[in-house]
Amino acid sequence: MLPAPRHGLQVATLGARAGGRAVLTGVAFDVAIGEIVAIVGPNGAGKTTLLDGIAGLRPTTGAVRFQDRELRTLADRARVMTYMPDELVLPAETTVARALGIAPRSELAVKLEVARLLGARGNELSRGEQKRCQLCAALETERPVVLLDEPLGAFDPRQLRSIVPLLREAARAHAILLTVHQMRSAELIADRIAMLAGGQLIASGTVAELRARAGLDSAPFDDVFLALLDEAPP
Amino acid sequence: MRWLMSRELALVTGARVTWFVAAISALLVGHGFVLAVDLYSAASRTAIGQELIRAQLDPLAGIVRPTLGALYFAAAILLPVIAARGLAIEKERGGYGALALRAGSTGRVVAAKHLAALAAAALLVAPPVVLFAAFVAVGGRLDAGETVIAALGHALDLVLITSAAVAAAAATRTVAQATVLAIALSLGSWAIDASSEFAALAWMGSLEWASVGKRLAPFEDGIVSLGSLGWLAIACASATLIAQLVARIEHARRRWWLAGAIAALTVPLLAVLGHVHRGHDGSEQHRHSFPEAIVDALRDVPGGIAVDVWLDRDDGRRTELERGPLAKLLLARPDLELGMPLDAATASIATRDADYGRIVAHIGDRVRETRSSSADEIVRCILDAAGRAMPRWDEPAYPGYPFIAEGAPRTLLLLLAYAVLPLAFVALGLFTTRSRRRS
Repeated sequence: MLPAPRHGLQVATLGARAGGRAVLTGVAFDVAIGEIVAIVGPNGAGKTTLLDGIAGLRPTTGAVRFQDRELRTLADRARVMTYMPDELVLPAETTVARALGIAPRSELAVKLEVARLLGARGNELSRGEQKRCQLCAALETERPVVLLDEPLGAFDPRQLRSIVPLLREAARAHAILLTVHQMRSAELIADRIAMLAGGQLIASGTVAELRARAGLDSAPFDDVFLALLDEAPP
Repeated sequence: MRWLMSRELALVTGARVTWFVAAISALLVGHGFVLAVDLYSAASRTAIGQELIRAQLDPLAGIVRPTLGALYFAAAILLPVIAARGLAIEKERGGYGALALRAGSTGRVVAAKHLAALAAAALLVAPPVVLFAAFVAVGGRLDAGETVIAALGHALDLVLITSAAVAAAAATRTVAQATVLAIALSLGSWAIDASSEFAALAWMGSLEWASVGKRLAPFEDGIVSLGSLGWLAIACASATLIAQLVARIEHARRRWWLAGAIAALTVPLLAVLGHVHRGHDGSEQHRHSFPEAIVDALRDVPGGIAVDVWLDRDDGRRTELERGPLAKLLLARPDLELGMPLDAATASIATRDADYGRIVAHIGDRVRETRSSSADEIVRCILDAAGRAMPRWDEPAYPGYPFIAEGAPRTLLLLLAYAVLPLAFVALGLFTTRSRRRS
């Protein structure tokens, strides 16, 4: 289990089932305010299911707490969380600003280079542009916990580098939990990484801790991920 | 919540399908209106100099009812498409859960989408209102009170269709599923209405209390029926509550049980309200009620009154009786027990031959019968059975309002119905859904 540096989001033995089989089993970790935790794992590992479960959008067992207070209902979660889903398609019927509730003169929109997109409709944007606008809306929140499902897939390497300080800045007042497919992105952005496989947490820690555990100090982080995956019980 | 409401209204007004449906509905309503005006004009030509025919020229029946009938048709098949879309497309686009989290609850999201859908439904009301105003402007006459009552009934119908469509969207996952379910719910009542026209569907007659068309009938006569008003209000409230419940993300099983319980409670309530005939006649000269003296005499009859009508459901006389004398009788005596013995499957052909056409009044053990379907004859029969004298049948003659639309006025109405109104919606649609350049 990840250590809990400060109180924030606490996920305790979370479990979920789909189609009669367990898709999440006993997942437990904490995300402190001021911290970015990345969930990584192969396809079908349960990353999106985990975020859906934490957000209260699917039935789960176990508990989700914030500042030691259990969040039982969607309304409880709504007081502290915001969620950016991966599969969201922005509507063609209205502007991005109105659809996502982004303030017209948002500073974050300027920093994320989406200010010029706010007056466009969803169908006028590329998938990547849509993702960046959604990220802007999610990070503008005043709620302390931010859940981001695959937020970085739409960024090119230059944009990825520019977003790291923005996420860091946002993390000062938030506990940020995100799922990431690219190991390089996780390494670049996260304070800690939780590896999920087959619905179970198989490894967690800082980048250095995971490298040490895999015995691969200077190899690309993809190799660390694969080595830890091979170590995991089937 | 203000952001959510403005977002939902923008989603409705920014959808081309909203304006397409409004334009098609305007065209259907306009066509119904033009046919009604032409028929009314033709009837009015024959009424010149003939007082008896003139008295039959009733704009409520001749203009308002057919126009609103077209709205009823358009709303039943088209409104579910736009009313269900808002919630259904949010689910299909994968944003429903995150939106509920952002709004604070699924209840707020569904409420905002429901209100936006009602705003879309309000677009469908505009064409009949404009057409009625134009009819008056070119010299036709409509009584404001009875027209408003008729429009109120149809407005409640739009609210009901919208609420049922939102509930359908709450219960399904895609736009296609929600639309099909919403249209099926909307058209369900038509099957019951059809049962009164076809003997083959007689078995559905017992479900008459569930027919929306039957609930709207009193409003179309200018009558504010408390039973119909309550029926429509309860049905709307129930659909709204079910939508709120099944749209919840939590308590996957419990919400369905609760929704089922609400539906189970609603059905008997609607069945009871479907048989409540109390109401207020708001028609001009109270012409859909018996004269005051007759109403007083009928109300003075102690105990219960039962009337059996031995006519088949597809007999035109029965339809006329139900819409005329029997409706007035029920308004005077809401406790009247009205029986249709031939609706029972057990009535043999031989019995039908012997009894066919009888209208039998029972008061206690006293029985009187007639084969006339005239109102005064039926009332006389009842009062005779009660041992009461028939008061003087004194009612002011309805003057009738002939109106011939020809020349420029007719052209104006035609233009409005077939071009101006539908094209106005098309233009509004093009304006609100136009592509904007990136800022």
